[in-house]
Amino acid sequence: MRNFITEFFEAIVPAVKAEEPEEDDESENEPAADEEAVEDTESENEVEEEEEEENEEEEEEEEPEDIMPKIQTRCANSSLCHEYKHHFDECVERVTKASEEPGYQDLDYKEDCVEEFFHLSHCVNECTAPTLFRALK
Amino acid sequence: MVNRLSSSQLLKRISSTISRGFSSSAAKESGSEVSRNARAAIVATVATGGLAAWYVHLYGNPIKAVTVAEHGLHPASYPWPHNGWLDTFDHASLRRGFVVYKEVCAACHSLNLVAWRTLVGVTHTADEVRALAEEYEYDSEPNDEGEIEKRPGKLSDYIPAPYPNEEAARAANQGALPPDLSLIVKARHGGCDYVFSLLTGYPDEAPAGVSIASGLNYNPYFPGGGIAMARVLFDGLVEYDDGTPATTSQMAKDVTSFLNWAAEPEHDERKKIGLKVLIITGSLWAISLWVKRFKWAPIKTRKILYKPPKV
Repeated sequence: MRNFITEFFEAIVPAVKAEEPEEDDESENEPAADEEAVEDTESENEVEEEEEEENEEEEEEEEPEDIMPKIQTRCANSSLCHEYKHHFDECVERVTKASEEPGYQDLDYKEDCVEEFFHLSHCVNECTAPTLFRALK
Repeated sequence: MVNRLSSSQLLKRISSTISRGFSSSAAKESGSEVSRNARAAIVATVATGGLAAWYVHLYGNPIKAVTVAEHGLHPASYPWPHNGWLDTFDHASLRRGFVVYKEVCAACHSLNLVAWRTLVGVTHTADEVRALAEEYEYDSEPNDEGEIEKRPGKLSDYIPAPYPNEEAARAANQGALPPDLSLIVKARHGGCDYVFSLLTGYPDEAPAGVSIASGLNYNPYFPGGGIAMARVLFDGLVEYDDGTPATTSQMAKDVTSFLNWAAEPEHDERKKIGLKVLIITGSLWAISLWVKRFKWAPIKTRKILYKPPKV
């Protein structure tokens, strides 16, 4: 456990990609702005992370909960993947609407959202990968 | 067809015009021997160039009728602990990964190329592996009556497969064959990243508009999207003896590391030998430079003087 905590802490200092949008989501829209803000509030962050860490620890002892979906959601909602998420949501809406129309089954070409999903997933994965592996043992 | 005809006709026309034009002008200027040689060289060059151009035209841009779904989603590159040039496997992770293989994957997937003995010193101690092997029964040598009895496993036995043969495996899995995992990390594009992404990448639902055949599950990383294997890793599925929380991503990471070890058991030793090779070749290089300096010293430091004879 102790190891896990120290690793996590070491990881936090240079790391910021995925943790961040949650804390200051409203104030920032660009990654560059993100970085500056982090430097300012670094000490603050550490305190927050510490609290978060303790909470996580308690949860884990009772029943392990994966942090991967959490990080993925954070990434998907961050400014980084905003565009892809927007396109994907729009596509889902469009396709769902089309599938409810009469005669949908007989259409020669039915649109799907695979491409939009891939673009979104790609963005989310790139954002998730480093953070996730720092948190895993 | 049209393209082929036109380009071949074009080729003929070009080569004939060149040879005709050249022969008439060259014959006037110089001897016939030289002009014939030059003409042959030019014809050969043009013909070869033309053929190459024709080849590129025909086969240079193969048509790929592959949708992104058929291609599969490319996994992100994860920072594996064994990624670096001199980094070894995380053996604590391998040990946990073996637990995941044994408790989860081994129900359907074999690991035919891995013997119990190979785990010794990698994930477990010899006594631990012996105990693991003894949990399984193997055919013994024929006894006095020629009958084959069962005996507990030994270190030299191979990890038992869940099905006796491919047909049995297919019959038990609706026609789908769970591949042997011994070399799976080497056998798939993306290696560890692919296996990890596949295991953790089952979305809650397929993206809108995607239809999946019955009996298949949607996984974007699997080429085509429809995979017979359902999601198998869920939080808390196994219990690790080192107390690591067995979350989905943790299990996926551990089992992928373990499978990478299974595919490349020589990995750690290989990197160690690589460093030795660099040290030895480096010192040989250094020695050769020093020897060269030593051997050349008299030549490099010599002085040539001209002493004119005294008249």
